[in-house]
Amino acid sequence: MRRIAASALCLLAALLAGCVKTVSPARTFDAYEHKAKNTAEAVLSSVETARLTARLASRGDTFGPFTSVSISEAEEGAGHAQTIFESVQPPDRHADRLRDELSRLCTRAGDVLSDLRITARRGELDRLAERARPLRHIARRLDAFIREHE
Amino acid sequence: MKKLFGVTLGILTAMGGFVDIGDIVANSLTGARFGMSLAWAVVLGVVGIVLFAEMAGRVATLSTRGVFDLVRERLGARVALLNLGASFFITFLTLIAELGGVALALQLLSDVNYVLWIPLVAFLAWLVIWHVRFEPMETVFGLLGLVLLVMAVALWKLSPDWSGLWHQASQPAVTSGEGHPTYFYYAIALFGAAMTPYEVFFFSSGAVEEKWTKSDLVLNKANVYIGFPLGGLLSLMLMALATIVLLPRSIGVDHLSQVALPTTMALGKVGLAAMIIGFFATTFGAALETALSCGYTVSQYFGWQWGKMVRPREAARFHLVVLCSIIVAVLVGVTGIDPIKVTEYSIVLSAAALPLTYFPILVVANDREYMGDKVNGWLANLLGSVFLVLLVVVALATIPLMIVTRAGS
Repeated sequence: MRRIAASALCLLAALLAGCVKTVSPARTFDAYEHKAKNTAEAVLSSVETARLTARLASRGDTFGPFTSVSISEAEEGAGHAQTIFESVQPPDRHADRLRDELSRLCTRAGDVLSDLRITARRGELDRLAERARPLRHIARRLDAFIREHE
Repeated sequence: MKKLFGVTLGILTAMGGFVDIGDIVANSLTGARFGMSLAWAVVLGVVGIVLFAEMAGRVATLSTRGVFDLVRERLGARVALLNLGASFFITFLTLIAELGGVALALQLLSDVNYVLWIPLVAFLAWLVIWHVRFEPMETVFGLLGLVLLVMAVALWKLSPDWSGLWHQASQPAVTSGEGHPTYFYYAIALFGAAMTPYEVFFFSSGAVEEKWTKSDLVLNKANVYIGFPLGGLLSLMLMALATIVLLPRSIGVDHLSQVALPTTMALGKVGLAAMIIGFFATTFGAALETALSCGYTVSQYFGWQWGKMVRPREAARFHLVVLCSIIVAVLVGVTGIDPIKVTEYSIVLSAAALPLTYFPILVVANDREYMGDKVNGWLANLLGSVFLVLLVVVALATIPLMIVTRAGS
């Protein structure tokens, strides 16, 4: 019985160790580039969520609280992905350039998402589509970034 | 009419099993990442749960004993205690997630942080368990969850390329940019979600609570054959909507709000309202199921008096376990732990515990001492044996895949 309990505890420990999502370092450019691509995908997902929500809200197809929650979550998601990426040490100068390029895109996305969140919380839902217009260009740039670094 | 409402136990169980907070997100997430190429995992899960839930319902009806009672008898007290620990832990994790899920649905309506809703939701769940009889409880939440069938209308309105969806589902392939380990990790998550053990604990205990007799075996079949495939159908609709709307836009699903977007796109505010009501009903129903299942498993293992039909004074320990589970779940939930992540882990972990739950059911379903002439036929035994082998393979593969793929990330 003790052996079974000990095995179960070991299994649980291994599981927890496997599941905890720590920020692992990137020792090579390739590893760093892979992290950059994943970050761009996460930010693109947030940007597209906000664009779709803004479009639906401007059409009068959503409720105010839903719109506010959806856009806030998109903003948090993009911010979280950017923070995690920026906490990774770039391994060389080439990686520095990659970091600058992606960080600029993420910051621009974050600014527009913040603006959308404020507009949504003020209840100005009909203005959201217009406010979300810059996201189209950002989404294209993020998509191009992902393709370039696949 | 009474017969019509008689299938609500199966519908409520299936709603909880197939469209609880974890499944809602997991099905949408897989649709947004893999298209319909993982539909086979849902279909396989539906066949498995139909097979074993029918056996569990039949066993509970004829023996008037809950599944966990039989698990202890067949596996012995020690191994069954390990099974109890694993099953209780998974069911409890799911309870935390469901309470959080109901709170998330309320957040979508109110824009008030979900953490603030959790204690209120938990109190409401306890109140329903304490005051509402079993049949009205299952009827109200089982039928209210059917509001999610609005997704069928949304699918039709979006007029997708049906042949493309069918092609993806019938000739599954790993999407470019995704690895095989991640693909199979999500396949196990969907399969585990469909066959999660608390479904059979709740369903079979519900059969005992409703005092089913031999003449109700038809009702058992109707519940299983209507309820579970309906749950599976809703899962596939979630996946299809995500495939049509979210996948082309590169939207990955991390939040409940994203799941509602395709239906909102098709049907506007009516669709959104229906989705939020459906989210509330199914997650609240699942919270009731998991809270009760915590009480059922512990009480049945220790041989205590159990059940909602029994006076609380006579089943005090059962009610105490239910109450304590809800209180501890609230304490964990209000820490701000992400309910969606919790349930994603719980459905994958439940896959690892499946053989221990379903093996004793298959054994007892062949025992003439309990079942008389209602023992399994050759087809049920053949399918049951094939599924048991599959469950063992899934159980062995789950944890390594979880570690290798970093939980599908």
